[in-house]
Amino acid sequence: MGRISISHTPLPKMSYLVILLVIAFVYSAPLIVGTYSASLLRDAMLFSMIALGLDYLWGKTGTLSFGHATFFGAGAYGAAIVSTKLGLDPTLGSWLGLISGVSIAMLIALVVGYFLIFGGVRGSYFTIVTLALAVISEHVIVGWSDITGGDAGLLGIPPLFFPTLSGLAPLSPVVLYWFIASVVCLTALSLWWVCSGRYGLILKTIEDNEERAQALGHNTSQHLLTVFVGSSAVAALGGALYASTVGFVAKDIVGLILSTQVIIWVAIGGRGTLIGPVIAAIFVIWFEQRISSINVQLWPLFMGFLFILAVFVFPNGVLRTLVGILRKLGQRLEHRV
Amino acid sequence: MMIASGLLTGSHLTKRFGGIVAVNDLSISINLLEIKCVIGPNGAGKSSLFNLLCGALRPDSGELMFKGHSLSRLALHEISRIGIARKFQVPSIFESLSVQQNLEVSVLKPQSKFELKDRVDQMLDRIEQSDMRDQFAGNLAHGQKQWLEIGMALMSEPEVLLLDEPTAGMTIDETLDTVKFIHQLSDHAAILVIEHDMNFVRALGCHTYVMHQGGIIADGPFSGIENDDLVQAVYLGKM
Repeated sequence: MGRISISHTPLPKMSYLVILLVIAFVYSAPLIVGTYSASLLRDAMLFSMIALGLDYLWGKTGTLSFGHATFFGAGAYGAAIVSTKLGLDPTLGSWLGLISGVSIAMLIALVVGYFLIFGGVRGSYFTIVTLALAVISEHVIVGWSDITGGDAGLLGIPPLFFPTLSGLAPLSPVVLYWFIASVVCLTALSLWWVCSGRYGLILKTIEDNEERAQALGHNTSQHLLTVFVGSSAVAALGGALYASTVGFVAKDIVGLILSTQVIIWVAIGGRGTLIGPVIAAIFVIWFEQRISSINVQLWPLFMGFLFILAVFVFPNGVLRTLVGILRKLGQRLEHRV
Repeated sequence: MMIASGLLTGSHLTKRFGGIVAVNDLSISINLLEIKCVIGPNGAGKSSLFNLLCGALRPDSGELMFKGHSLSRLALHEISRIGIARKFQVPSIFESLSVQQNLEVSVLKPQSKFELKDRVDQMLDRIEQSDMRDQFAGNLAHGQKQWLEIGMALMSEPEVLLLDEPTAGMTIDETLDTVKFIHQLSDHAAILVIEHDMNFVRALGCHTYVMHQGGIIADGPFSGIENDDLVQAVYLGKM
């Protein structure tokens, strides 16, 4: 698998342009599509953080987690519980919630990841155990209703407060949108930067042949654990921001269904490209809203169709396929000139 | 059998798989900048011995020492870090990285970009792959993969290099080139080669252990080994 690798060769100049255009569109969206559509885009961007986190793990080290929604959920529920149940002042509680949500998710990842990774669990066995993690987390949310609100979820989560001229206040919808867009862009760009050099190569060796990497002296288990915890922190940051942005959490943000969708986003966007899964997540969620508004039952059908398309037509992801086509077109144009 | 206090010493190593004793009370040692070879027919336990020596398997009994320190509690990556490098039997390179990148990731902690580039360039030269540095390693010919993997093992500047069937699948010419290559390497590291190809071992012409049914039945210079009646009987299947 993976004989063709584009992720470590320099990107064609065209794709920098594409990335710039995407960022420009993302920032100007509230002014173009209106505030309601922008709020959908904002939520989609937060969910795309799970895809970003998962791609850091799956795309860079080849280790597939089927439970990444758990970390999004842990971030969201952690933030919700700390900011609503402890009787904190909302100006402080919202930020403390954000930090706690991310920390709780990282702690879960650290404990689960330590025993799995240092216990030598790899490949599909790792995937199956993380699948169990998704199921368990769903049961915990439903069963532990005193704390988590059970099926009803938790309401009244305070928004993040920022210092303004007139004291601490929540951001206006448009500014909040820009704040979240910046967090997502910054996270994606820093992950991309971190993985673009030698570190990315070392992660790739783990995917190619972990025993060989160990025999060269690389502590692959430690690398994998770091990536696993880091990738869950990214997902949890998305979840914690989601809780404070939307104001409520419900059980559909943890568990198996969301975890499965995330895998589809990454597969469609192109495993290992980091930015591809983010764009795919946003498009698929937007598409989901459109289709579901026609008929709710149509969506699972489309989702299945998309997945089949991703596997058979774009096995390297839509983004890579597009870049490939652009490259070929460029070469042809050069030949003519 | 005498236990020498060499650079890498295994004494009374035993490894069982279920009821089968793959390595049976075997002692072996290699000294600084020495080339030694282990030969034996298929199923003699060569690969098990190799895996014991590089830490991929733990012995059921016996002790493995490197420069007077026990290796029994070290993880695979730690054994590599103290100076024991290995080449696997099946060429194990990173197929989706380029030849150059394969060598780059084989240096654990490069001092600087320039130092790394220098060392990679030198190694590319030594393994004669300078002109294919940007190719995917997966596209190399079989023999080239073997050399690349030896190059990768050398990037950490090991004191002991363990080679498991380095000429498997090579043509006769490639095999003889590899013999020359290994002789050059012995200026830098002690080398223990595991092989079953008699022609290769004859060309290498070093101190040789003959393995049979998990134990060593003969050892000495290859010329003496080759004419040993017992060894001939084992290799020709008369036992």
